Amino acid sequence: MAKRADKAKQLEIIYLPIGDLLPYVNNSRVHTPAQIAQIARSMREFGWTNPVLIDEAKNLIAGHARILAAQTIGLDRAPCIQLSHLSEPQKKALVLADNKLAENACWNPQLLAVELKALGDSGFDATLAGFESSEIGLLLQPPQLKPVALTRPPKMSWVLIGIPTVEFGGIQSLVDKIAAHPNVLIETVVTDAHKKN
Amino acid sequence: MPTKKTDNGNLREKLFLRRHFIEKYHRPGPFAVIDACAGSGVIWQTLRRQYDCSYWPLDVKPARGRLAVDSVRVLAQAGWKADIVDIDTYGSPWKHWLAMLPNAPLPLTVFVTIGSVKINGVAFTDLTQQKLAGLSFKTLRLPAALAGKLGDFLVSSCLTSSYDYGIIITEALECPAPGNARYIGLRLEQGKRT
Repeated sequence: MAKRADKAKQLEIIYLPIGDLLPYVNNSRVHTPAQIAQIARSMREFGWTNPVLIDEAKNLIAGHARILAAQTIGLDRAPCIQLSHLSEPQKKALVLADNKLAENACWNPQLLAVELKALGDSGFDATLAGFESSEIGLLLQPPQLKPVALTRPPKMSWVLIGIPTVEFGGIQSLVDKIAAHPNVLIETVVTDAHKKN
Repeated sequence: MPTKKTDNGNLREKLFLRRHFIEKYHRPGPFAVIDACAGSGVIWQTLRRQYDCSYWPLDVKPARGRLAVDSVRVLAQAGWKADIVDIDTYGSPWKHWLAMLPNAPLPLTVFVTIGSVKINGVAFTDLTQQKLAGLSFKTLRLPAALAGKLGDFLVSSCLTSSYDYGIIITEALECPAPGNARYIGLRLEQGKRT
């Protein structure tokens, strides 16, 4: 185990013709033309900063999108790290892990907004970092929290005036329901005013 | 056909609200979260990558990775412990809210999502909400504009029902978002029963 780890530590970057590299046929990661264009723009700006991973037979393990992007901008050689210490299952797993492990991270939106703003202020095109303009706009204008007005309702008095005695029975059940609430006091004034003396 | 406006459509706002309270009251953790209406769990799936927390997803509907129980009944039991209760319901959070209050371990952060149901532009206020405010009409149909005004009153009434249990709300913040649902975060602390 330690021997394998030692081998992995001794990494060398070699430059190989892109045409010599073989994409993995079962690569399940899908790259849209828009994403390839983003990577190509990034390569033009920053150069090729991240070597691709290949096995002894020059099969690609990681870096399919970088190879596609490099081809669109006319690069013919790729920086590669050849990994000869991996078993077949390990290669398969690394093809997935190279994408999935990064996907499992998340952004701190507050710090991200600070960084994007700093880039914008310095005149740098922040879309080169892979963010869409609309996405940057949203991040730079985070939602605003507002206080919720909390007013405890006062003890309420429901005063029912002028209800003839004969009709009061009809609403008695409703009044009882309202009165059951702890915050409600009910005062009823039942009148017989409609009766003629 | 009723449309309930509480889903993960406003994930950005929901996360923003939760992060505010976590940063203020629970960071660096660890802290415990009960997600009373876990659904697909996307909110806390995201937050758990960022914060050190133990997570208890509950939902009535069985699904892998969460407990299939009626979270109202869980919250109604004495003895549960959590630092955060998330009531991101598809509709009304008030049954959970009422069930939770007698047993809430304090201090506690609570998130509620308050949805609304509309049929042909007419808003129907929630029955539990009405009862908490002392309005016991079985059907209260109001024009949308009036329901909005009454809605503010009802929400305030429901939230402050915590005072009946000696629980004061020291912070109540809302994250406005598109749609009819309201996303509110609350900090509950021990107070005097009134």
